[in-house]
Amino acid sequence: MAEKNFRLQCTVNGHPIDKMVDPTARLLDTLREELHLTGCKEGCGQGECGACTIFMDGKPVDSCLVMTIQAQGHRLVTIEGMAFEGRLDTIQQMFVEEASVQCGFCIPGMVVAARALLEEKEDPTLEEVRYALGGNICRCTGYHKIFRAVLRAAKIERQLRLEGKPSQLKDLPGVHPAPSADRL
Amino acid sequence: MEIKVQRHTDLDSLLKAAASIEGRIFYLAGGTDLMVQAHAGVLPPATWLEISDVPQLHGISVEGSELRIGAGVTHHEIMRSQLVQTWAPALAQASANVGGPQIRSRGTIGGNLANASPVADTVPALYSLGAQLHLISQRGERTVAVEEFALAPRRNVLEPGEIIYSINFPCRPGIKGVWNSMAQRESLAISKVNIGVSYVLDPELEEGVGFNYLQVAFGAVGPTVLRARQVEEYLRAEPLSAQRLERACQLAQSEVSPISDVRSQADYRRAMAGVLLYDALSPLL
Repeated sequence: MAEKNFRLQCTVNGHPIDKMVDPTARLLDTLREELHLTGCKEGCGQGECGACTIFMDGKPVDSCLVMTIQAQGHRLVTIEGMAFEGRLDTIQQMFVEEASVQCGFCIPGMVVAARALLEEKEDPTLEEVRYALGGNICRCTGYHKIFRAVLRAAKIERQLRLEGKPSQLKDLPGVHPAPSADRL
Repeated sequence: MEIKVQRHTDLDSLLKAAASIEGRIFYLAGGTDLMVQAHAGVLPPATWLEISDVPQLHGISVEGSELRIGAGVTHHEIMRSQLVQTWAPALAQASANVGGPQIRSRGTIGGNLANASPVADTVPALYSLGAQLHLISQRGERTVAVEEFALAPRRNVLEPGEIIYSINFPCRPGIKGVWNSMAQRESLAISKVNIGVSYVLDPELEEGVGFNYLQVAFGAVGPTVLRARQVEEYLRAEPLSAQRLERACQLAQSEVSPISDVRSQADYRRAMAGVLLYDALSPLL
């Protein structure tokens, strides 16, 4: 076990982090073992499967390929930052409604990668969804229901924007209980 | 494996450290290759220098009549850059096909080069564009042509303490380009064979299609990426026709020197090199 001799300062899910950690550990391990954010999963550990996908400065990255020291000063968002207290991200809600989940192991990474797409493109085609999820592997579902959920989430958010409402279901007043502030 | 790591956020301090460290150094940028190898425990003991936040290694700009891409620029930044799409379309296509989104967010063009892999997806595009690499160390700067950079698989011309600073190439008005590959699947696949073609059409030609500039390079069909010089000379000599393109594809097949390995067989790679050239240029017919 390497020494926790590095003072990591960054933000995770909007909260400032200031913690002594092993700078050489994979960011995936630091998130899971030190910050107890176990939503990101280790699938392959080689950047092939996308189960460990998180946002780093707004871009989807495989956290197994980032060394912890590289997170210094950067902005991280994990799946835990996308929903709390039952208030789901639109994409998560559509995964539920479309039954896009079987074993569930790949889903946090799928949701992050899909959110990255919808942040760039509000009206993606099926082809664009496939391209955006090209870095995520699912061994259960066969992908069709996942693609359908992402396309539906995009449609719902487009509609909300047209109506001049917050673009996410979870931000609509009265739809969900208030978030708890003390969660990472 | 014990790793010592230093984070550098300035070029001067990085080059100074690189010059003074004894023993092996790994430069960590995107980490998409190094972190996999580190976790597998196959790397020798070394000092790691974290360079992804060195500002001098970032940025895409036009300087004079050259396009400059910092070595630390990511594939995602390259594929989205209007400047690259205009002045280096083959490179924009190559970067858009590296790995998957997560890999493109982190992986850098400098890393793709420094790895000196014969399969590196962006490198045939850089060969086709005639890129010059600016290398830098505490001793100073030097420039090498991209074709001189890789010596063999995993071996390049970088000297101790030296890193790639930027990738530059001339802005050629009217440049067009194609990048393509054959692989097992579309995302996250290592190419069986890939191609980069850049060209400028001859506007003076009244009939048919002729080239003022044409460079063709193939990856994964030799110990380094290779230029198809016979193909280029043949295609530049006379206007393009269906017959001449077919002959050029045969030339390409004889010019490459592939091996059989876990990803493909030599014969197939040879055949597909011709097919990729045909697919790249047949829309011009």
